[in-house]
This record gives sequence, structure tokens and C-alpha cells, in this order.
Amino acid sequence: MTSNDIKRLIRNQTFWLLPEKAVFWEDEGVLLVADLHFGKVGHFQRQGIAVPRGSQQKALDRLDGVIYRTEPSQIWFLGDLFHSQPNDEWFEFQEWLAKHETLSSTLIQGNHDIAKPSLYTSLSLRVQPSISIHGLHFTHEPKSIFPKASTTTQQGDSNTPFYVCGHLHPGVKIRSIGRQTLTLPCFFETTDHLILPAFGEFTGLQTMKVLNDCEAFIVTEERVISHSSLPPQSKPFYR
Amino acid sequence: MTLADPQPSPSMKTFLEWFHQKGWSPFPFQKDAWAAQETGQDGFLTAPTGSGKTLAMLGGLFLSQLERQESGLPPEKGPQLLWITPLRALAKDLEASMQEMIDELGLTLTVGRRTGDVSSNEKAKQRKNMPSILITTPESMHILFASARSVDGLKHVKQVVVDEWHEFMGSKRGTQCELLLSRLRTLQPNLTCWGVSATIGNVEEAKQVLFGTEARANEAVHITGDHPKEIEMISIVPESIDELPWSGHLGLSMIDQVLPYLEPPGSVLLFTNTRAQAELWFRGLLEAKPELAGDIALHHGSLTQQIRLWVEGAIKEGVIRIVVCTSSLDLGVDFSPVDRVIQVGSPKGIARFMQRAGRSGHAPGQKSTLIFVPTHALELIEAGALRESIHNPALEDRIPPFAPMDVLSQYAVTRAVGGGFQPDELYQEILSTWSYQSLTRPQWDRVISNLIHGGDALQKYPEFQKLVLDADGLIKPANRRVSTRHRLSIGTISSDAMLRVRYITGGHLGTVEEWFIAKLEPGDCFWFAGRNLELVRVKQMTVYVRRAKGASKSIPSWLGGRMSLSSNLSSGLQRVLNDMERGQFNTPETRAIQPLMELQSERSALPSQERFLVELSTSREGHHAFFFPFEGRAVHEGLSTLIATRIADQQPITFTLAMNDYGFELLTDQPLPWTESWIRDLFSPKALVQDLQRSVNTSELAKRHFRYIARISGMIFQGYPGKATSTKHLQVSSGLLYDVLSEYEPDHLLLQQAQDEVLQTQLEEGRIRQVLHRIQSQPIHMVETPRFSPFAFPIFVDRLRGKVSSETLAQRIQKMQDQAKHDLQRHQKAHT
Repeated sequence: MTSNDIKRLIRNQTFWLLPEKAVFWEDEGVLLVADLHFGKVGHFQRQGIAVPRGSQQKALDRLDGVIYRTEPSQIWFLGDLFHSQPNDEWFEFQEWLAKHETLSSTLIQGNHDIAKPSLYTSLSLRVQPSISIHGLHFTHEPKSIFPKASTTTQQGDSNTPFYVCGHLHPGVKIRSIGRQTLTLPCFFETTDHLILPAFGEFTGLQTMKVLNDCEAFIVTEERVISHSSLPPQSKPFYR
Repeated sequence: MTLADPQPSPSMKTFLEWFHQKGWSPFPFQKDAWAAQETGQDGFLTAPTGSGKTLAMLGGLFLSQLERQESGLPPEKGPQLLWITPLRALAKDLEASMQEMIDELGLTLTVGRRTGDVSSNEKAKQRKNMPSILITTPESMHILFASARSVDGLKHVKQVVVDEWHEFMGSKRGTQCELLLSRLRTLQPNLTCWGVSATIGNVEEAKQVLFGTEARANEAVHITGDHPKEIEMISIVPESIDELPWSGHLGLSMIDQVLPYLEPPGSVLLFTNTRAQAELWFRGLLEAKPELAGDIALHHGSLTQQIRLWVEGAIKEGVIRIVVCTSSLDLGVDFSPVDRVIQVGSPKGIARFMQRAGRSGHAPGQKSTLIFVPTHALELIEAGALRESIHNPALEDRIPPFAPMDVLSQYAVTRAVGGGFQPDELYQEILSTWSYQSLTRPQWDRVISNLIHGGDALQKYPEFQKLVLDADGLIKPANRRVSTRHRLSIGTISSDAMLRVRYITGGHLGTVEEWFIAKLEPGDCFWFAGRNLELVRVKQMTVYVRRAKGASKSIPSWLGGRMSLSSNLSSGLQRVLNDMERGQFNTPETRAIQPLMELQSERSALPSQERFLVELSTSREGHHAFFFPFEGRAVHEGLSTLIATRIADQQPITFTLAMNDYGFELLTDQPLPWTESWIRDLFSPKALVQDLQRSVNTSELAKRHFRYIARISGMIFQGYPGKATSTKHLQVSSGLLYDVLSEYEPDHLLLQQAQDEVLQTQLEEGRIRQVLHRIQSQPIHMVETPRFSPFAFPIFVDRLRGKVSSETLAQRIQKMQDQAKHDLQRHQKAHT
């Protein structure tokens, strides 16, 4: 890992937040990615909306890069791996999986993963609704509702469950002098949640409020930066 | 036979008798129009609203029908006359007044409406038995074209009238009209076409666009029913200029001074520039003078048609005296004149000013009275320019869109869905329109290819399904889903998702935009439709409300571009500034603003033709540079983007841009080495086209504009009414689409269109070039202003901002972090 990544200790486990929009769980050698939304372009095309291909390949290339760098033994997809029913892009992903046959792959089912279970097994992809281990719950959707709820839950002692999930496509808005603003993807951490940014290219952002007990880890092209390291005026004021 | 004939035909006799019974006599322009219609000529009528143009347009049909009835012939089958109107709301009014004429004349004609708010039941009946006169909108006509069964009946149409053509012409709805006319002409080669328009700057061009070719336009008769009227303008000027704010556009501080003009007797229209402003003024007037309740009503485009029609009727009948309104009352068939018109804020254009003034004192010989209420001090300069334009009005042009690909693409799908088309035939038909007259065959083939293959012929999208070429050489939809979805999304008026507002006990009030309601929680109060309302719940695109007693803080606003100063008015403005420079304060408005101009000279200098003024300031927000070309918001948007892009080429930097009608601001987080010679270089007209092109890409202009194009061309589907879930997996933002297209298919047809439209219509390259040349000939006057000048202040406080950046994301964030460290060190020092 490098200084561009950020290390988080959660329930005594080491998680690396990577600028590739993935998380590497060092103790278990698991690479975590969420919301790839593969096949979204194909789904749009079938409905007569002309979106060009290419974004899926770019995401797969990025995935290759991060696998090469972290050498995981497993990869867990935290839901919304596929956008809708299987289509051509599904085969692109199948080929990719075949290339990585030594890697054990698990899909934690998301609301978009609606294909027949047999189709996933034919890809030798394990499918599970969620995984719980070391007091950590790996799910697609977060337990609480964000961002309207203020997320000030009770202090995170080791007995309260902690959720590692996706679904929201979190982003954060930052400002600097000269009235400049930027909205960037981020890892969003609360006392009991770590929400991953969407890994897929053809996905949007949901702007999150970074309140007291929360921290956002902003993803730029090459680094992950903690929101709290930015000057106070770069953070919007919340009512 | 002409109408001047001393022996009028029996049908004409009946017709004129009816006129006399009503106590009217036909205007010369009406007689001219009837004569031309009798001989089957095309025509163009310029006449103000409410002047009897409806009768002028119907005379031809009525006379021939009277003749038929007198000869004992049965009524003709199918629709005879199509009436295209820009507003659904006008259609209902028109239908009623036409029905009345038909009944009184005893004609065996039928009249019907086909617009978005006619029930599908009624539409199904119409399909079987179309009325003789069909009143409709361009969108509804295109929906008709999208259904194979309906088209057959249209070949009976003899005459089509496009009402308020000036309203259509400057927009893509005008292009839709052109296309529908080309379709009707193919179905019925003997079709006659009439356009009705208010007087605009480019009437000749308006004719050409409507008739498609210059030859056809020249053959058409041009009839003028306009009679210039005297306009009296009164500006409400406070005793001291200090009472007027330096910025803002609401003008609520002027309410007390407006009250005397609302006193009886006489009816009043109070025009505001936005719907939110109308709501605020309505509430403000009632608070200032509660006795007005019962006398005053509110009218704007987001209220239900029922409310609007009631208001229009009530002022006509004298039930109410005062209407607070927006441009929603610029149009309107039989809207009778009022005694006074009050205009709050600058109307931003000479034509709009004249038109609104013309809403008062319609009778011949009577003069129109317009009371102008400034909303901020500098607006008095605009008022001065408007006053000087009264005697020699330079009316604005309406610029028609040229060959928009999104509209063409939408139309091709419409025709495919409506029974299919043969590409060669449709190409010929489209070439007959003004807009697509120079569409090349490769361009057309590319549009078709995009609809069949997704991408261009070389870049076929394997899964794409929209249109297909069938065995008979016809282009048809790939499946039924395509047809259903297309029929639901036809149209070029694009707006954000709208929610209906209705009482829990029943009764609709109007519509608000989704983003406004998203900010509210149940129990919150807001002011809408002139009422205080409490949000009860939101369900299925409907906001349920009840009357509220408590105070409501929020008032919905509706997104929609702010109007930019027209070029004609900006020339007038510059003349006024030059007069003031020479010490000539000729109008009551400029005399009132004299003290403020003196303050401007004291802090900086007057921005007149004598100099190109640049003001430099530093504040907590960063380093400001203000420029004052006085060319209107739209041109300033282009200019500021251009200058920022040119500087950003020289160094990594990020700009935040702000602009108003008078000037623009470049705001940076670092100081810049401004010198007169550098400014002159930056404003050089050299390499303008390339630089503008680049600035469109570096800024977010094209991306923002793409939103509209994506909707028209069907790339964004807004969902079936009340069936949001079935399209969940198709939701995408136009910004995301834009990014994906720019990355993977940068030469995409619609991306190019977004860039072209921004360049041609938003940035107005031609006007920017003129400004740059003018600035080259002016001395540059650079002033450091420790305090913002009266001209700079309103730009500084404007919150609508654009961005141009040549820094990478990492660079920008690094800067923010460095700043954090710096702040921290300073903080620590302060505490040791």
C-alpha cells in the first residue's frame, strides 16, 4: 500500500481505502468493490437509448490494476454487480472472470441483481444475501437511511454491528476560496457504517452531508484524502 | 369578385349582416384577409392580440360554408381548418369563441380541440369523426403523426393557421411547426397556410421560415392590422435614490409607492418577470393593503388552467380589478384591454415593453399607459433607454433555430412509429422546410443510422433496438415499447419533473418543481397560488396540501433561464450612458440616478463608450476583476468564459464567473498580473472561433445545455405517468450521459449539436466579435477599487456562477490542503 491509500482500523481489522474506489481488507486478503452496474449500457441500448460502450471495459481495467497491486485471494462484490437482466456485457464480464479463475468471487446481492441464480452459478460466482464475520456485516444496502437521518447513532463499541456496504454511490461537495465547488466520489464512514463509492463508470453520485460523527474519504484520480484534512471553509454549512 | 364589389355575394351579405347585428364593422385588414382566402392564397397577418384576427382568419371558411349551405350542399367531411396555437390554455378560449360565431351564423360546422388536456376518450371520438375546425398545438399534431390511423383524416385539411407565430419562431417548437407543415403539404398539396404574428424585427425572415422557401413567402399576401399607438410611460422614482437597493430583482420595497396606482377606478395588470416574483408581489400587496382582497388575483403559468381561465374571465367582466401576472398574460385571445399596466423590473426587451404597454387602452385613438417600477437603482438606466425607444422602437428579431438534430431525430422516430417511412421520400419532404433546407444526404443518413444502429454505421451498438428497416424498405419501430415510449415523450418543451399541488379535500392548484418540494417536510408551510399552504404528504407526483394559518417562509421558484437584455435595448442603454458621460440627464429616470452615477465616478469611472472599464478588488472571497461591456447576460456569459479560458491556457488556474446584463466578474483564488496591454490581448478578436469552441468545452456550458437536447432526442425518458417503477433501471442524469458520450464517442451528433447551439444561440459569436472589435478601439481604464462600485456590487452578490478551470483535480485539492495547513499555523501562532 502507498501513501495515496488510507488505512482504517475497524473492529481490529485493517481496511485500506484505495483511490481505485475499492477497499482492501488486509487481514482476510479480500478485495471489496460495490455498485459496478455492469451491463447498464447494454440495457439502455436495448431500450433504444444510444449510449456508447467502453465504460465497462474501463472499469474492468481498473479492477485488473487494483488486483495486480493488492494480490487478493478473494473478491467480494457488494451488490449491484449487474444493472439489469443479462446482456452482451455479461459475457465481457464472464471472460474477465475466467481470466481470474484463481480468485474466489462472491456477489452480495443488491437490488439491481435480478438475474436467475443459476446464471450466477454458471459464472462460478457465489451469491449470498450478506456475510457476517468478526462483528462486521457485509451487505449491499446500509442499515440506516442516509443522508436525511443525522446518523448520530450510539458510540461504536465493539458490540454494535458494523456495516460495510454500497448502494448509495456516496459523493461529497467541497468548496474553496473564489467560490469554487467540486463534487467528488468518496468512502463514507459513520460510527457503524463504511459505505463504498460506486465502482462502475456509468453511475452517478449522491451528495452526502458530513456531520459530526461522520468522515468522508474523498477519491481523486490518484489519492484518497480525508475530508477532515481540508480547511473548514471548504465544507458546506449544514442546517 | 372582390369585397370592394358594390354587389356583394349573398353569403357575404349574411356575413356582414351578422357583423352589423353585433354592432361591429369589419376592419380593412379583415376584408383583405377574407379576399385572399377566397382565392386560395397563402398569407401572413401581423396584428396585435385581441384585434379581431380570429375572425380575419376564419372568414374564408365561414363564407364558403355559407355559400354551400345556401346552395343546399351537404357539409364537407373531415377537418377543413387546422388552428395551431402555442398555449393549451388559449385553445379552450378559442374553441368557445369560435363555437359562438358558428352558432350565431347558423353554420353546420363543428369545432374541437386536440391538446394535452383533452381526455383520451374525446380524442378517440375525434379520430373517427374529426371536427371541421381543429384547434391544436404542434406537440399534439406530432402525436397525431405518431399514430398511423389518425393521419388519413388530415388530407381533407384545406387551410392551416399558425397563430402567434412569433412565439413559436424563436424556439424548437417553431421547427416542429415547420415539420408539421411540410407533412400537411405532402398530404394535401393544395393546402393554404396562414401565419399570424405580432410585429417583430425580422418579419420577412419570419415569413420565409413559415412558408419554407423564399418563393413561396413572396407569393403570400402580407396584411398588416397594426396601428401604432401612443405610449405614456411613468416611472416610479423614489424621492431619494438611496431608497432603492443596488441589486436584486424583486422590488418588494416599492410596494407602498405602487399602491396609489392600484386605486379605483380602472383595471390594472401588474407584470412581473418571474412566477416566484408574482407570488411575492401578490402576497406583499395584500399585506400592505388587506382591503385589496377580492379585487386582486394572481395569474401565472404554473397555476391550473381552471384558475387562469377564471382570472381572465373575472377581469373581463369586472369581477376583479387587478391581476398580478407574468408573461402568462402576454398572450391571450380575447383578453380585453385594461386601464393601466404596471411593469415591475425591466422587461429586458423593447418588443416586450411595447407589447405589455399595448395591453392597456386598446381602443383606437386611446393611448397606452405603462407604469415602470424599478427593482434596483441601475434599472433606471434601462427605463431611460426604454423611454427613448418609444418614438422609434427598434423591435427585436426572433432567431429561428437552424437544423436542430434533436428535433429531426425525434421527428424521424415519430414518422417511423406513425406507420413507417421511406428514407428518400422523407428526406425530400424535410428539405422543403426552411430549417433543414440545406440538410445534406450524409447528415440525414447519419440521423437514420443513429436510430437504427445506435452509433454511426462504423460503430454499431450490438444490442441497440429502436428503429429497423423492414423488407419493404420502410423504417419502422423495432418493437411496441419504442412506440409507446415515444408517444409519451414527444415535445420540445422540456422542464424538470413537475408535481401537481392539490388540496387533500380535492381541487387542483397548479404545479411546482420537484426540487422545491424535496426541501420540505410534511407540516412545513409554503406560499403558492396566492395562498398559505401546509404540506400534508407527497404521493405519486402529487403534493397534497391544506390551508395553513402559520407563517410560510418558502415560496417555490421555477427554474428557467433569466431573461437577458436584448441587443437592441443594450444599444439604447449604451446611448444613455454616453449621454450621462456628457452630463446630459435627459429623462426623469436618469435624473433620479444622477447621485449614484456621481458615486460611481468617485469610486471608479462611468462605464461609457469613452472607455472600457475594468475594476479590480480583493475581498475575503478572493481576487475580483469586473468588466463592463453592457451587452446583456448572454453575451457576458460567453465573453467571461472566453477570457477565463484564454488566461487558463497560460497557467493552471480556476475561475468562478458571475455576470449580469451590465458586466461580468472573474473571481480567482490567486492574484493576476492585470495590465492594460494584457487586457487588450485577452480581448482580441483573433482566433475567436477556436477559442470559443474550446471555452465551450472547458466550461460546463455545453454540458448544461445538453440536458435539453437529451430530452428532446429521447435519450432521457421521464417515465410513464404514475408508473415510475417500470422505468427505474433507465434513470440517468444528462450530465452522466454527457460525460460518457464525451469520453467514448466524442464526435457524437448530439454532442456536436450541444456545442453548436451554445456557440450560436447562447454565446452569440457574432455579437461577441462585435464587442471585441469595439473594445479594441476603446482606451482601457483600469481602476483598483477598495470598495465595490455601484456597478460591480450587483455582480458580486449574484449567486449564479459558472466555472472555468485548467487545474487538475489533484492540484486543486492540494491547494485546499495547503491552505488548511496555512490556516492551522496561523491559528497556532495566534495562540502562542
